[in-house]
Amino acid sequence: MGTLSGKNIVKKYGKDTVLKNVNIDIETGKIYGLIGRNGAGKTTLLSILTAQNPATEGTVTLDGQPVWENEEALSHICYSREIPQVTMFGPNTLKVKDYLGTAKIFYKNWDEEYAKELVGLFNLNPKKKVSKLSKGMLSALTIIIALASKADITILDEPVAGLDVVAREQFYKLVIDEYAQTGRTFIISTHIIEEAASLFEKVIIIDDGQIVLNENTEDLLSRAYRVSGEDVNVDKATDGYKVYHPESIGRNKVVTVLAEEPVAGFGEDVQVEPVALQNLFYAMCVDGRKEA
Amino acid sequence: MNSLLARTRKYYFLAGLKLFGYVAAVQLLLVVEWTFFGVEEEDIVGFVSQNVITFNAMFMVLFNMLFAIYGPNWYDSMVLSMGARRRDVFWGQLIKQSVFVGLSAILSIVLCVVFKHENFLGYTIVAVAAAMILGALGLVIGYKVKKYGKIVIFGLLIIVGVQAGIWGFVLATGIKLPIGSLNSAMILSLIGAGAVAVFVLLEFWAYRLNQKCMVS
Repeated sequence: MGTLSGKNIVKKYGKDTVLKNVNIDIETGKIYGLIGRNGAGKTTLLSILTAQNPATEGTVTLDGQPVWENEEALSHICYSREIPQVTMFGPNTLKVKDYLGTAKIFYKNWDEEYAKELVGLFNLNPKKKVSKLSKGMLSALTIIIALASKADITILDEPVAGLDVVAREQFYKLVIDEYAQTGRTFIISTHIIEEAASLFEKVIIIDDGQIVLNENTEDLLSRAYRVSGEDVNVDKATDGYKVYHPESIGRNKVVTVLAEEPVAGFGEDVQVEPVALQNLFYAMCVDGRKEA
Repeated sequence: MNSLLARTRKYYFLAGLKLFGYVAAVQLLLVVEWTFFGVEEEDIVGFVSQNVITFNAMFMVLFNMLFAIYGPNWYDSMVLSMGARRRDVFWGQLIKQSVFVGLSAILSIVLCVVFKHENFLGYTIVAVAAAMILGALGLVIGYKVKKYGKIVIFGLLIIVGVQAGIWGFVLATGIKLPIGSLNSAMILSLIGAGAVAVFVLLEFWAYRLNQKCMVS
């Protein structure tokens, strides 16, 4: 497996442009975190990358072959979508076991034993109707589909939404175990960034329909800093760097800096701390870059 | 069963069988009811079998359209989200409808032959044609409902209401339609050709909508 690649992807819903000329390369054999605010375009991007929905413009390829209507490419991909609670269609009309039975038909490498094991692990009742499941149980079901599909590229959209802390930890462990055993590619979109950050080998940040960042998580965090001190000193120390989300408290100021390369120091007059992924994301998305 | 097309066909084939099973189960209940109602009939077997043939044809037309309307929301989104191709889904829908209509037609024909109701064979054939056309129309409506929501259903209700009014007026006033002056072979040929043309057009439209529909 090579690269899942999206080129110049534009998606419009009526007059709204949800994705604005997005270019993205997903290298296989890595765990990606896709983060972005509500409405940033995460689900739309994932649904286009997996050919579930058509793009208005642009192309998606896997190893150079178009993904759209391509059996070979689609057989390597599983995008386990969030199941809405309040519809009377699709999965919601089925029992858990029937939904899993449908997945068994469509996923070529479906692992039935593993699926049963996961049903037990997440305490799902196979005879229960999907429409009767709680939010957490619905998330567990999408996780089971994703993991048991054994697809080379497995995509989960908000997989931990509604899950309790025990189930969330179980999920993270399952992903790590699967990754260690099979080297499958995972793309996980989540709002619980801090918890999942250690899982992500690479992180993609999407904001307002555009990819803001797509890089190695460690490298990214190694060049991100929280610089604080007297405003004059902070301004002087961060001059020439990309500065995000400046906050002033009296004469003091705090900024988040994302440098091009790791910085040896910002001088004696300011305090410098590392930035967690969630805080960096917040700083980048809350009000955009203020200075350059 | 490795090909995606074969797996999708299997899924929709089973869906068609399941739908036929539901409708057959409803008819079995009706058979029990007709048996009670028909105890005083001279030929109770003839009475019940004729009722089954009549209702089976009606159900074939009605439910094939209803199941088709549900299709894009009920089956297709889920199947597409599991990696099926749109062209497989299109053929799958045709398979599902053919299985449902085919089995219903077989049931009617067998009953016509076994219980000597051959005069209902033509009725069954017309019902099959109507079921396939309305199935294709149902699919188109289903895609529109999926895209635009309930407003489409209200629009349809108005159209159907107006049509029912026109037909009611025609029946009440005894206006003769020009079709009555044509000979029966010509009528059958015209109806057959028109049915095929309408069916192909609607399926083509459904295919176009299928290519653009969104997984939700």
